[in-house]
Amino acid sequence: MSTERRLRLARTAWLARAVEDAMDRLAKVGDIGLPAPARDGVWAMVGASAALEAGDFLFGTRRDLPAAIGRGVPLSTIFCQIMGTTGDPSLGRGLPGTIHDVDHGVSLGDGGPAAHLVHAAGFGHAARLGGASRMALALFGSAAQANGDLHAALNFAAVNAANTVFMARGSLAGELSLVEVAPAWGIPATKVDGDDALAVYEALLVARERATSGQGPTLIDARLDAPARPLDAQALQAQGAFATEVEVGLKLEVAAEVAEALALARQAPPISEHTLFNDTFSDRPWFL
Amino acid sequence: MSAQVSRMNLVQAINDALGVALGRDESTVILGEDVGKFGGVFRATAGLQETYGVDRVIDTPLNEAGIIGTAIGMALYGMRPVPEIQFSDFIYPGFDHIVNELAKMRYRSGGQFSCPVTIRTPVGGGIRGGHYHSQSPEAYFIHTPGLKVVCPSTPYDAKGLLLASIASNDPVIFLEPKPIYRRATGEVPAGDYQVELGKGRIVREGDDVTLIAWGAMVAVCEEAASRLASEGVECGILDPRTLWPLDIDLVEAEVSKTGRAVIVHEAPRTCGFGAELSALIQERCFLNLEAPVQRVTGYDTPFPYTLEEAYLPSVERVMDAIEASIDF
Repeated sequence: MSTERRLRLARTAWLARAVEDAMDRLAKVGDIGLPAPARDGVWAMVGASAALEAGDFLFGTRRDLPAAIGRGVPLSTIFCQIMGTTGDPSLGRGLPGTIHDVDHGVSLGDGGPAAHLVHAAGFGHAARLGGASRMALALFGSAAQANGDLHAALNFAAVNAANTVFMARGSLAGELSLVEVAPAWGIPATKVDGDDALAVYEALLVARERATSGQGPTLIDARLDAPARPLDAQALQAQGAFATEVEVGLKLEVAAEVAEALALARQAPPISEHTLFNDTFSDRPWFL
Repeated sequence: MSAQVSRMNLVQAINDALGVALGRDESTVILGEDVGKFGGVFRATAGLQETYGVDRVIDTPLNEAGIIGTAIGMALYGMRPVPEIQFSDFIYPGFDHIVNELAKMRYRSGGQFSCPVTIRTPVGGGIRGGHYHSQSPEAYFIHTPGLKVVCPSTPYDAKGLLLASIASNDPVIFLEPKPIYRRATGEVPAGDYQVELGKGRIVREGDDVTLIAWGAMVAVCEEAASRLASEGVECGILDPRTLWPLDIDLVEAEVSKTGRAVIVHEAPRTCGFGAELSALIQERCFLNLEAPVQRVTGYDTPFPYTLEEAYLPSVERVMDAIEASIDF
């Protein structure tokens, strides 16, 4: 069971890596604006998003694109968003990676590094008030740790016993482990190896159960001191389930998927100028 | 229809509207500092937690970014939050959430997500509040695409506009003129009614000059108009009520009729909403204007404590501007 799970997570992680590589190439030739790579956070993002259920909501920054892929946002949507072509549900309005997908419950913003954490606290608060077995997952990086919104989010989520899970991913970047400071907010915190997507997934399952059973938020710190080859790949190799030819085959498979989705996005019509004034308000006012 | 009508002041009308909103829609929640058990520093939410419970009228930690950010998340879940910011002067720690998140959520998601959040906050001076309990920040929010900005001047409008704001699918900054919370009184129907957003009100008919004011400045203009009427000058008064989107048709019709406009607001003059109004009037009414548009405003200084009466537009300053317009 765990081997199957690891394989699925590994496949999603390699897919996300391939998307990021494609974004990097597109940016270098000037086809798209500046991308924001997930860097060392890919495996943790993929592991976390795999634990979400229908009705849950993923809050992140555009760096969390791998989590959106793990959440099931179609690759065609991802590439139309990256290229800013028809097929992007947000009509080409955000930088590459800012996925907004109501069908999959995903909002990846591009504003402050921690603003979305407060929104996740509010979503989780509402879910708890509504009695729903839904939750919010909020991903963030070390840049958020010195931001006041992180404190506001953790404080409000704790006070309101919100159905929210907060998870730090990426590089530790010299910051304190949040496990050391989480008791100040009264939130249980767990340190998980961010190179081990399966461990992150399992930690999320526990945190999700806490959140949706009215026990309040959980903080997971999955940041890495020294990124290495992901533990999932090592474990799969040790189990004989990830021989070199399997890994190479997997990479070729996802590369073909990425190439196909990118080609379709390139062929998609540009976003119509007629959409420029839409969605500022629910109805178009006289001045637009 | 003969709806029951009561006489109440403006803050009582706000309280009445909030009670109606909570009663008509279970997805409506109120949140803010001291809004629950205490009933709000101005009593705008008094008694509501007793009626609707701690899960509908929510006391929060003292953090404006937390209050507004939480409201955004609740709206994304499907609720209609009505956060209260105790004084508009305290809204700036939540400014990023309003300007970069709340106002842009619909646009940046291609219309997939809406944020029906109505932020209530008291504005204006004249209560001996000094720098940080007196400001009028409407221009910041009018300047931000995606926000509606409302400011009532009567109890009737306060209730009807607030109910319309909460029902709106757009974020609304609902500015409550605190100097007239208790001074402004009037007849208010019971139950649910709405004053349409984007529609202004003719406070007083007059053919000589059009005064445009909102919030506490409407009463100042009424007094100035009343005094000048005895001298044979007939001033019309237009209260936009919804500052943005402005009722531009009403402004154009009234100013074109009189050929003269005097705009009165408490906020500092430079880049205040009066500047935008003035530009719109000259764009649309140029050939009908008999005189330059006059502005009577707060000064371009921080809001003063002991000299607040010198700072705020007075009846005399408004009368001077009207006379300057007529004598041009």
